[in-house]
Amino acid sequence: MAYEKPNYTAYGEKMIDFLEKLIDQTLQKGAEFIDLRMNNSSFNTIVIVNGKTRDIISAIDKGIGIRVFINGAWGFSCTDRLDKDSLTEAMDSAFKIAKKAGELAKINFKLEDQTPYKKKVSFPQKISLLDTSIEEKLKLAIDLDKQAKEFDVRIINTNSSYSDFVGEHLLLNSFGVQLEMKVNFIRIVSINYAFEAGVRQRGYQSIGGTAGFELAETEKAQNLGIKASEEAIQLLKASPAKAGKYTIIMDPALTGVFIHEAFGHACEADAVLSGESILADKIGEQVGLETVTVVDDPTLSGELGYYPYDSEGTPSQKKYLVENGVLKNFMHSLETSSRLGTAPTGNARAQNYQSIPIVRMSNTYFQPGNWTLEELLEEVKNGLYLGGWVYGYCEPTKGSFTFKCRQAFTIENGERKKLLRDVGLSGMTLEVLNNILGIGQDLEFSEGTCGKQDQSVPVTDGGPHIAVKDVVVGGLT
Amino acid sequence: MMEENYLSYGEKCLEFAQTEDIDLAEVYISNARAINVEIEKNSIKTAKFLYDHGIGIRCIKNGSIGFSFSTDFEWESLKNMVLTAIKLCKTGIPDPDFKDLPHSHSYSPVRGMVDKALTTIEIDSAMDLCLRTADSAQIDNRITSINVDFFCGDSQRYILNTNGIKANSKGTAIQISAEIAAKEDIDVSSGFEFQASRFLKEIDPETVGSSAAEIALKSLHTQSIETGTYPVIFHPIAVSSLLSSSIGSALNAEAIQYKQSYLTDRIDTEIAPDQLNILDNGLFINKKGIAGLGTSKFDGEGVPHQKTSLVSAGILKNYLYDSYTAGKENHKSSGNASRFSYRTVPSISATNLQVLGNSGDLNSFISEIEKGILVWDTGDQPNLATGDFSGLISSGFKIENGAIAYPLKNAMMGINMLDFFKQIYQIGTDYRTIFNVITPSLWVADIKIAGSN
Repeated sequence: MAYEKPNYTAYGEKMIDFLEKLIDQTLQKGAEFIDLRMNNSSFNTIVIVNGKTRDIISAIDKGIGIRVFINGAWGFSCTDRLDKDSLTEAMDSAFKIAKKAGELAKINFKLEDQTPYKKKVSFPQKISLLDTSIEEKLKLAIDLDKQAKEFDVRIINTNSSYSDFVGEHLLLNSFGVQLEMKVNFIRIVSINYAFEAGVRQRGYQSIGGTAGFELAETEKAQNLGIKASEEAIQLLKASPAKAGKYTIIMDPALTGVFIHEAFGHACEADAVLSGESILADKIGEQVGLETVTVVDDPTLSGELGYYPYDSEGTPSQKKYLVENGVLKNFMHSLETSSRLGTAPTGNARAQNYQSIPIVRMSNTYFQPGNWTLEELLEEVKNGLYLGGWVYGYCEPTKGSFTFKCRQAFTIENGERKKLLRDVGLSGMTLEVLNNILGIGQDLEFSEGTCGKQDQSVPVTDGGPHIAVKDVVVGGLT
Repeated sequence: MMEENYLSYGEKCLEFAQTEDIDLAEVYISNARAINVEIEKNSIKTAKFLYDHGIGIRCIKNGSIGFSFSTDFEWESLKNMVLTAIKLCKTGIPDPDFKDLPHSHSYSPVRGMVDKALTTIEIDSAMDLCLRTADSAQIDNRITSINVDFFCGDSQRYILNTNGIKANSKGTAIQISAEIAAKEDIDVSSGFEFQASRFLKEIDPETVGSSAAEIALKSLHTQSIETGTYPVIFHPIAVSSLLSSSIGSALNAEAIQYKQSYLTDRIDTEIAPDQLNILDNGLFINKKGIAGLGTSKFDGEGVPHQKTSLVSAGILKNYLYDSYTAGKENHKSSGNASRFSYRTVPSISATNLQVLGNSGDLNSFISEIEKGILVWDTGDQPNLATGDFSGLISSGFKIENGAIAYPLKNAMMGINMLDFFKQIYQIGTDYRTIFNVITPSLWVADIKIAGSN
């Protein structure tokens, strides 16, 4: 029956012809550039709390976003009505506001032409998410919740969620790009709370990627509930940290989020152009020690930040943001690359048809070095080992950052000792890149979503263990 | 689409749902129109015209709730949506804790929800407001970047359920914000200011621009401070971000029932000095007769909004309930189910948080302090499971001899929120509305601050 498998068909040739004609007509009226992004997506979300289905959601979402560029300004309009009249009206409205905005714009520029192409591409997927029944997805979430609860009697609350997304994205633009991209990703999260003697702690584990249901069958996915409960139970015994300045080791998850939040955002060329990046005039300059190399690579198939083409149709590519300590590249969209006289890097991403593509990261990581964890601990001798993160906050204009860690340990005489909770760290990004004592040889990725200008996109961050001196750590005592 | 059409689509979906074997169903419809303009480096960059309408349905069988939505109002799509929600509710696990959906209510009218000027505003006037904001920020040659974001919109929403609820409401909103960067020598800083209201006439673009610029200039040349314990003054912006999470989110009855919140089991206990009073006021109207951004006749399930005392004379009084969490403990819903969109299921949140003050204001507090800290903003939030707050002071100043001395470099504060409330020393009367929080400045006696010295 229709409701068991969403009505999911490719766009007809007739629709594409109609949209191409609409683009031509609007170009003739004076538009300099136009793009149309039409999405037809289906998604499922299941949230199990304490063994019961809190949310079970399944829906189809479709619509179109239209952008028109004139004289340095953009007009944008979107609609979920896909009949010819509504599409024409949306195009007219985007054109009118682009024209008005273009008249008022003080910063004028042209968009560089791109090579036209016609392509159909798909994200990797072994076991089809659309063909997997909702019952099977539900069973997975229930099983995770059960194992999380049964792990320990002190687990008082369990939250297990499964979500997947399958979409067909059509992109047409006035450079002659016609891209049909089948997108899919899956994410599973377990968050559990433990309570003992007045102390309440939270454990968190997740897995996600651009994959099909096969990801749910991996060992990591199958044990997510246990791992999250284990973390919450361990934290019950943790003590608060003493505030002050420390030599620290960041674990791969924290290194990853640090490089994404504190450094990666400052490499987004829109921040450079709007005067909100500390790196604005530093291309070619040494911004960290020679051992520091930072990469953004959307071509890593299977990772949550993977995509073969960005939302403007630019092919994705691996980029060195920093190579051997020297700032090499910013990440670009069609607009920022045109304004800064370089080529687009395939980093323009839009959350959906209701939003416009903006410069975003993909899979961003700190390249590993050659230290073992033992050697790093020995080098630090006395300090803190900081693991994971709950959230991070950065001010790219000032170049400052703060992160809240999931857990931490004291390092005493080169060994991890006492478990600590609620540890936050803060500092200046470029100081950290110059205060690195050693870079580990390991590399781990963690997936998540990144928010910017009210748009959320899937990303992956990664890195090795790194040791850093002189970091301000906030605690409760 | 006309109002009657939306209602009749909703009714048709409910009728269709009831032909299947389910217990209850509820439909939520919203229709919104919005304008968004962005100014980058003092130049118009993007203008957007957004139309968004859709319908979401919850179907319930033995307490198991299935949800689906559609942006397409063609009957085939609506039928698919209803059948999907029915299938999901029958697939889910029965939940005996679910009692009922709300029953029909009568609603008192609420004034000041709709500004006609915002239902008819054109993109040209929106651009003009943005340019005025940007121009007013150009007050000094140390200002290096001016970014302005403008949003306004009007929306209608409809809620219908099989228990007889049939409600609709309208509202308008406008918001303008400025983000300014300043530079002197090698020192850089930023300043942020915003205003939001349901009425255009409450927005003063010149003030938004100039005060963001002033904050950016004042924040140049930061200095490190000694780690230590200081009296701390919180600007209303900082109070609003702290209380939204530590009260608004922590009193969510779902978090309480699942024992996820540090305020679990603290009803009728003293958490603060008796001068602290906080309300959740879903019917808040300001002195000019304009409704708050969290004000409405009813919540996301059709329960009438009300005024709920959260902290009264320092005693914790109530949690925030929707119909599910209320049913679970035979309580009455406090009208705190909120709906962000037809795309999402209801979730519990505060309506308007109102902190009642006593005397003094930001400046009088500063003038009484010999050595202390002014926290303008903290982009950080407490751990709601433990109440521990260890966060960056994203914008703060050192106070010396009754005056602001210099901006802080890289300082963090650490305190448990239960100690924070106990340490409240004075609550001002310099009320400011920050989105859905109405609060004055706050003076907290002793907080541990980690500096980088």
